[in-house]
Amino acid sequence: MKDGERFRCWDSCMFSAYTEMAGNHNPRPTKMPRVRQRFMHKLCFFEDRYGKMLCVGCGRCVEKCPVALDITMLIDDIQAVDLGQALATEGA
Amino acid sequence: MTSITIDHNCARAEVPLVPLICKVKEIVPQTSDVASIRITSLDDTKPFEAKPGQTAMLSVIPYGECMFAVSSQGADYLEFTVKRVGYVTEQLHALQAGDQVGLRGPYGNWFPYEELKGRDVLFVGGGIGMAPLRSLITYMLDRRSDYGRIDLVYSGSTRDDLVYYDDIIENWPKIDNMHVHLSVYKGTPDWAGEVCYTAPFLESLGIGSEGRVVVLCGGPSLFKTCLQSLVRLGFAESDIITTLEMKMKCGIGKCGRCNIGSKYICLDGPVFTMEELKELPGNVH
Repeated sequence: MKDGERFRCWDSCMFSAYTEMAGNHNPRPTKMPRVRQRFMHKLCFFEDRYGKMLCVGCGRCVEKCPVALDITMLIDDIQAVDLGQALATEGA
Repeated sequence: MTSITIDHNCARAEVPLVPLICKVKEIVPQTSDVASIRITSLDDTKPFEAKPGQTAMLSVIPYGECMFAVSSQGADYLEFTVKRVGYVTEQLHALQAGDQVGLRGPYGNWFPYEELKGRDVLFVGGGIGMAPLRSLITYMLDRRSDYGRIDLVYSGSTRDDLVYYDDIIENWPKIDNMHVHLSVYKGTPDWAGEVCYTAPFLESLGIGSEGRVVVLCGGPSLFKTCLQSLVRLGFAESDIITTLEMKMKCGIGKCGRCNIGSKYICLDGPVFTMEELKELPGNVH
């Protein structure tokens, strides 16, 4: 190959095709695991691994969200959920 | 018996982002949609040494790249056994001997072949799950006296979907203290063996869990059902080893596709024991 073209495109972990594999298997097939991955990665998984949180608390995502999806409200909602109960239901 | 511990985060290629330009030495068809692709460097030497279970990124220029387990190795080549399921694998199957491909690796940790010395090992696999298992089986067969009894429980959809047919039918059953148990999911007139799903077949064989280590690799449903069967048969989760290399995408912990919780399959794995996996949030597959 002598020449080529640089192609870049947007992608997001919230898209169903993000984790879809050849052969159509998808480890995060529904919104639930994808949303969980997004917020847990930001606030928990990354911190577990690298010791820093991926949120600096600037509030821009709350201010600019076109559908008013407030991350702080989501965190409050998650805290209100009985985790043991939720995991037991998910495993069923 | 000491329990198996697996090294994690122990192997990184020295220059993981620069593909080494290699060429296809030979393509060996296995089934209608599986082929073994042998890769050698441009000066006909082996591109690198890979331990059993390690993986490498194979790129078909300019179509894309995918991570595959090194299924076996020769004196001057690395062999990747690939099933044709998507865009890149389609292109891989269309290659001819002499075509150039990019190769980077080796990535990932490896099967604990040192700790398995002296132990009895049960391999459970289905379909293309044979590819990573084969790297360890051939390693052990090359050092046969170091290991105990080897059992292979292997299934495919039909007789024509069994990968490495010559080895599993002809060569391996003849090896001392090696037992090969085969089943297919759908019988055909040319198949005289068992017609059974892998998990019930595995349970029917009466293989004891005493002192034995299991290496499991297969698709999501095989993985789930066989795991339940193995627990019923009395295997400890610390003695069940699996590889999750099919989840890997970038290989260097950047893309965020293969992770289960805070564990990245590409950085911490792909080889894990079930005991480690069950601690992680979310499903394995």
